[in-house]
Order: sequence, then structure tokens, then C-alpha cells
Amino acid sequence: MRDRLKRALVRVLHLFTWPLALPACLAARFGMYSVFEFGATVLSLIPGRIGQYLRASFYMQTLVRCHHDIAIGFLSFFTSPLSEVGRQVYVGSLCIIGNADIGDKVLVGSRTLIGTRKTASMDKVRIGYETWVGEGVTILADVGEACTIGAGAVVDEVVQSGCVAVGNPLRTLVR
Amino acid sequence: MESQHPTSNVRFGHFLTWPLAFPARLDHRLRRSEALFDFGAKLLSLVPGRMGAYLRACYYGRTLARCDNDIVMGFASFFSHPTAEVGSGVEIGAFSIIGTATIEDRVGIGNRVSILSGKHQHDVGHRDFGHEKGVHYERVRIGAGSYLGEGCIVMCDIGHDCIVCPGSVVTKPLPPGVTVAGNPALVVDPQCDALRSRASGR
Repeated sequence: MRDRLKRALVRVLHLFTWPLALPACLAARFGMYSVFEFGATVLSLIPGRIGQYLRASFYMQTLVRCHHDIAIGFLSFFTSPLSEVGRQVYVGSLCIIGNADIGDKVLVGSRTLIGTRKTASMDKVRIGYETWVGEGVTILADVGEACTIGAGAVVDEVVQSGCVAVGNPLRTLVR
Repeated sequence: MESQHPTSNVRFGHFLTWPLAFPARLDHRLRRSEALFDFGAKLLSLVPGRMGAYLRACYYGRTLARCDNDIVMGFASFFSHPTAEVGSGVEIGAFSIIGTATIEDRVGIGNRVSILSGKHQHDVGHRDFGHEKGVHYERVRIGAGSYLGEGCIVMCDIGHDCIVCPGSVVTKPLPPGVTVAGNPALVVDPQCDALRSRASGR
């Protein structure tokens, strides 16, 4: 019920976000990602719950795959329309997400960077199902399922499923 | 200590921010909801310049559990919970996020600092969606006169007169007067100059 309501609300907000989303989609077809980035950064400035729904609506229309039940925080944005976002993803404030494939139920803390700023790069950073990413983390490599990444970590090597990884340089603790 | 913001500006600031502050306070008192507080805090964090600092000081003075009017808060910095407490003479840089913290007098906080609501925010045994039901907030106390450097992350209590070097991640409680650095933070200097001179009787 709640899920249906959320989906309906996000769809209604498409009425407000299409002037940003449509040019972004068209430009992305021709390889121009700057229009997408413009829309994403403008909507990142809207505070509160309404901002979250507007961002969800924009990303549903522009990203390759994006579920309606996501929460992208204040001042957080995607830089590449090639990204994919699963169901029930929560991203905190002040995050920058490049070309990434984020699995279902992933939780990302504030001030996190995922993937590179190079929007045209084809290699996607994958984050598996139910992984938790802490505050202020930099992720440059794939992370498996059900991992926990500690605050302030710099992930420059692949983290296997079920591991806990902390620190800079990265230390992986197998659970 | 003299207030950093002139009285006339504070009055004008209250005049401008009450439409955000009053509903936020009411909402938190009556419904225990933080949605309106969050909206106001984030909206005012986008106001640039000196004007923004006045408006944020007025807003937090009215909405936080305890907050002195002379707080200086940088651009895009915000408190995420109205239960935070702030003493007098506190300065916070830009892009900082402060959780359920108690910040004592004369604390200096750099840019891009995160003060988390404890170490076990999501440590509830199950990975449940919805950041409201499956979370556990702890109070983090930052002692008087401490300084938190650029980009550090703090998730534990810090004693008075500590220095946290830029980029550190504080994972264990710190005694008073130490200097720490690194990720995870290690003690670099066990006693700060102020405490050392006080101990030697100078």
C-alpha cells in the first residue's frame, strides 16, 4: 500500500521534473552528459522529503535503471546517466556518484564518493545487495554483497561478499 | 563573551526564520517528527555569506535542544537532529554534518567534518530499510575548547582541549588534551600545550 502510494507520488512529480529530465535524456543519447548533470545538481539543492521525491522522479526518467523507492539525500547527485539503482537504496547527504551499479537495499552514508568523475568511462563500479557504506568513504572498486565499509575508508581494491573493510589504506576483515 | 552577531541582526534573523523555526519546533514537540526541522536546516544551509550565518544561528537558537545565538555555521553545513546541544562561541566550517552531538563552549570545527550519532547507528542486527525504524542514536560529546580539523569523522566522545588533525577518523573515546591523527585516529601528542603549561604552574 505504502509502496503504491510512493510510486504514485513519484509519478505525479514527473509533471514537474520532465523539463529537466527530457533534455537530459535526449542529450545523453548523443553522448552529452552535461545536461543530465545540470538537472541532477539543480534538484540536489531542494531540501527535505519533497527534494527526495523530486530526485527519485528525475532519476527514474533519466538513469538506465532506477527504482521509485529510493532516497537520495540533500546535495547528493549522480554524474552519469548510465548508472543503475536498485530497490530501497538510501544515499545520505553530500554524496557524488559516478558510473555505478547500486544493488537493492544498499545504504550509503554522507560525504561518500562512488566511482569516478569520468562520466564517459565504461567500467561500472558495482555495489552488491544489502551492503552498508559508512560516512566519508571513497569507493573506486567493486564491493560484494552484504559488506560493511567503515567510515573514512578508501576502497581501491575489490571487496569480497560478506567482508568488513575499514581504514586508509584499506584493511579487510573477513566475517 | 561578546556575541559574534549584532543584536539588531539577530532580531531581524528571528523575524525571517520564524516561519521555518516555529513549525519545526512544534512538529518535534508534538509528533516527535524531524521532517520539518530537517527541511528548514537544509534550506537555510544554502543561504550564502554573513547573512546565511545569521539566519542559521537564529534558526538553531530556536529549534535545537540548547544552542547559543553566537554560533557561526558555514555554508551547506547543517544539524541533522534537533536533539543536538551547542555551547557558546562555537564555530563550524562549510559542508559539515552534525548528528546528535553535545558541543561544549569554544569548540572549533573545520570544513567537511562529520560528527556521527554514535558508532552503532545502523548496528541493530538486521539490515532493514527505512532510516527511521532501524537506527540507534547515541549522544557524542565534544569537550570545551577542542578543535576538529578539516574533513575528520568523529563517532565517539572527545575530552576538552583535544586537537583532531585533518582527515582523522575518531573511533575510540579520547581523554582530555590529546592530539590525534590518522584513520583510525592514533594519539600523536598525549598532552596539549595549554594543559602542559597549566600543569607546570606557568
